[in-house]
Amino acid sequence: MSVPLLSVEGLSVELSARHGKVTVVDDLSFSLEPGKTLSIVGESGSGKSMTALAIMGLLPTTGRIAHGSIHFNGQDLTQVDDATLRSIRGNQIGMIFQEPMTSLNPLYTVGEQIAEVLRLHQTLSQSDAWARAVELLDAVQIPNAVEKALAYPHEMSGGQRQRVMIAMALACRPQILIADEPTTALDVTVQAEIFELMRNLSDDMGTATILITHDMGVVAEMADDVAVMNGGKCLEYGSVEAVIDRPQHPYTRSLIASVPHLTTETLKGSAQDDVDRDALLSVRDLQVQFNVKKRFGRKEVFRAVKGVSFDLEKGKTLGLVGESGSGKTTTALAVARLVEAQEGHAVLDGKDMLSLSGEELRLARANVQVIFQDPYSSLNPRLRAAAIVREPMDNLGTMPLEERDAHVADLFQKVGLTREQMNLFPHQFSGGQRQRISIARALSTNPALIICDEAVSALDVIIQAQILDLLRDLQDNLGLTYLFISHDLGVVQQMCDEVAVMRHGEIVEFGPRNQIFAAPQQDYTKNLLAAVPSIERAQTMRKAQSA
Amino acid sequence: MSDETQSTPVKARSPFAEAFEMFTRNRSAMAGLLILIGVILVAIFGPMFTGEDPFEMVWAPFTPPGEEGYLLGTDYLGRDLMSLLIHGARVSLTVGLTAAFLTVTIGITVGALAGFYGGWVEEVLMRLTEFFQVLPTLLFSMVIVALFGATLPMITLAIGLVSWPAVARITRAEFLRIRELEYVTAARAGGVRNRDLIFRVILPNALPPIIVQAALMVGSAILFEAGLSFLGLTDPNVASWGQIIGSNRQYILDASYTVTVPGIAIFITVLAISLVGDGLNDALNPKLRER
Repeated sequence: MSVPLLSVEGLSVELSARHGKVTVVDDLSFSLEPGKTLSIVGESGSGKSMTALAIMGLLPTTGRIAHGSIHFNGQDLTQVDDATLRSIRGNQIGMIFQEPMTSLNPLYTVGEQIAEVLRLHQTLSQSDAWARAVELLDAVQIPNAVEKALAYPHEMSGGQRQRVMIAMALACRPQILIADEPTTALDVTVQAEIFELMRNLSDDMGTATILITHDMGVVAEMADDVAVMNGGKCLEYGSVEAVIDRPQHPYTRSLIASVPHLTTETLKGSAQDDVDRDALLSVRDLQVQFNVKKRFGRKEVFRAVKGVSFDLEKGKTLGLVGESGSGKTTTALAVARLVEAQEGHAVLDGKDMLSLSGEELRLARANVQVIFQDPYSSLNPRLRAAAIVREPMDNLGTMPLEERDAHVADLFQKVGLTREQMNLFPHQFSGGQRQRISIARALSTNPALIICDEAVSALDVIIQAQILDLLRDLQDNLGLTYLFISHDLGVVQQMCDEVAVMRHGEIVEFGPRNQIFAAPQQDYTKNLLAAVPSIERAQTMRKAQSA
Repeated sequence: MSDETQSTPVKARSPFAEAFEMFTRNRSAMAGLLILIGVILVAIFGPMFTGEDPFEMVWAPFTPPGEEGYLLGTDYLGRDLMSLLIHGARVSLTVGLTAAFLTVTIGITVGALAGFYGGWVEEVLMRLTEFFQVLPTLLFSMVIVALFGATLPMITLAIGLVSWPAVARITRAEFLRIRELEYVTAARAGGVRNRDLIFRVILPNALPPIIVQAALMVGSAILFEAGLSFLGLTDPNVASWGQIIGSNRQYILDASYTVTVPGIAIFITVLAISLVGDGLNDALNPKLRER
């Protein structure tokens, strides 16, 4: 056992709020050895990011380290002065953040930004720093690094920007790299590439990594050691084998159980007889274009959906999966006429939604409702919960006036909220509860079709599992039909009967769930499936290695 | 692990109730509000004590403040400055409030339509807004008053006409932001008509910055009216604070109090309105709430 590079002991962090102090990290201890990866895992508000900021000496002004020590290379970082911290930060401890768009300065080229870090910490000359910046971009596998160094952040994709962030963090060959949810904003295939890169770089440079994440699958694939945090406390700490294979704490167990993991499916006999199925929704040759304004008033057309066709049976769930920009949300919102399609048909319950207009269209909206992704912006902050749920009923008149109050109360009960909560305002609910209100609203007009647009993507895993359960129960009891959009293949596998894989505005593969997951035909689908971090796969690989 | 469906007995608190609580805790804003309430009370009830006609010549001209029982002295025609000031409060506040109301009404209508519909509606309305914005405001309002007569309604209208572009731009910006939020899409999916989307869904959520702007607009309208009066563009039959300053400006060196006293009244009132406006800004801006 080697000497730990970083050892945190009894760390407590307090934030001062309006009503006194809140302890956000409570008596946390761990150590990190050179070349190893420690994963801090937990839900939002568990204190995992605050731990990272405390190590970096970057706590918000309202925060302070109440007690404990952070020993790095023989120095206690809680005791040293700002100048020392500054010289350590970026030089010996590097950090990458979740949102690659906002962590880069939009006014400078990426080359300049990396070179600046080098000049600050290593006193390199201008041209040496630039040459090293290009080298680093090459090392993080950005193609054509010489040219790309001259690019501005907005000219790069999300994955490339995160690579730039990694290049910046690694510029001074730090001994520790802290990565705070580095891939949460990225597509799953890009995530897999970024992790691969991080693994290779830490092998090459011997960098130790602290990886902060909410995803147990990521932990299983990346970490050597794990600290599970909840409510500021470390509930479980140990090697990844110990924590994932034999979790001691019930919270860890529920965290692992909540991960929507991919299970291996066997291809059942071809029960797929192509008889005339009773399609509730039948989409044909759907095309959606957006006008993109370019410089000098030139207009360009972006084809978001290029001729999509599918059928959805009553009472079933169709999953639309694909990476960001694949056109899955646009397709669904075009069916609901919330985005205008240029061509095609979307026959819902015998009516072509795309041919309706005016009052006819407005009333037809009762038949298709949407559950949105962001629980914080999908509810009108000025309305009480009951009024939010009532809104569609009042506007569409789907129910006699005197029955509406009772129906709202009934819906609240159905989605697992109490009568007392009906009068509260959205900001008084948690994220999961807000999503329940959203579901109640979608149900209020008894729609034939419900579109779930990444309905659980913004939620913590345990809450996510609860909401998925609720959606399934409601489907069983009320015979609902879902068009389920998600980037998360694990969730799709749990929820959907059929799956359409989308890419660049087209459906590349369509079929029953078990066929897509057990025997994908297209390379794209295979890549997508392979990129999903999986606890099981990591376990098998470790067993194979140790054997 | 949290059982998230567990019910906790909480009181329903609307965002505006929270903003109100926030406002009451802001000392300078509450001071501003108290002063403002004082000015309003004087404007409403003051004339009961000073007599109905402020233009009555009560004593010798240029009686210094405090002498002969006239607390603020008399002006160049021997009129009681106190009485003028109290009646002026009524006029100045009315002009300020009416002009601000006019500004907000035009501004919200233009901004909301431009922001909601986009396309050619937005192009036309925003060009119109820019047209009014680049007009030299003082000159333009002077022209209106000169052409249509120096009556109080016309002066108010002139102030309203030159001030609305700021409100229109804020409203449009808020509409552009809010119309993309998911709850607006959800409302549209719930069959809410465009008219209700604009006025019932988006506008209430767009109000906070507009309210702040409107509050500050009252102050600037009072200042604007004073400016016009100083230049002589005023209704000679009503006593506004600006009119008092304007009519006494020749004697500024000999009897400086005749100009200073209404000047201080304007200063205090506008300051109070600014404090209230700032307080509203802090209270209504959720980003500042947790401080």
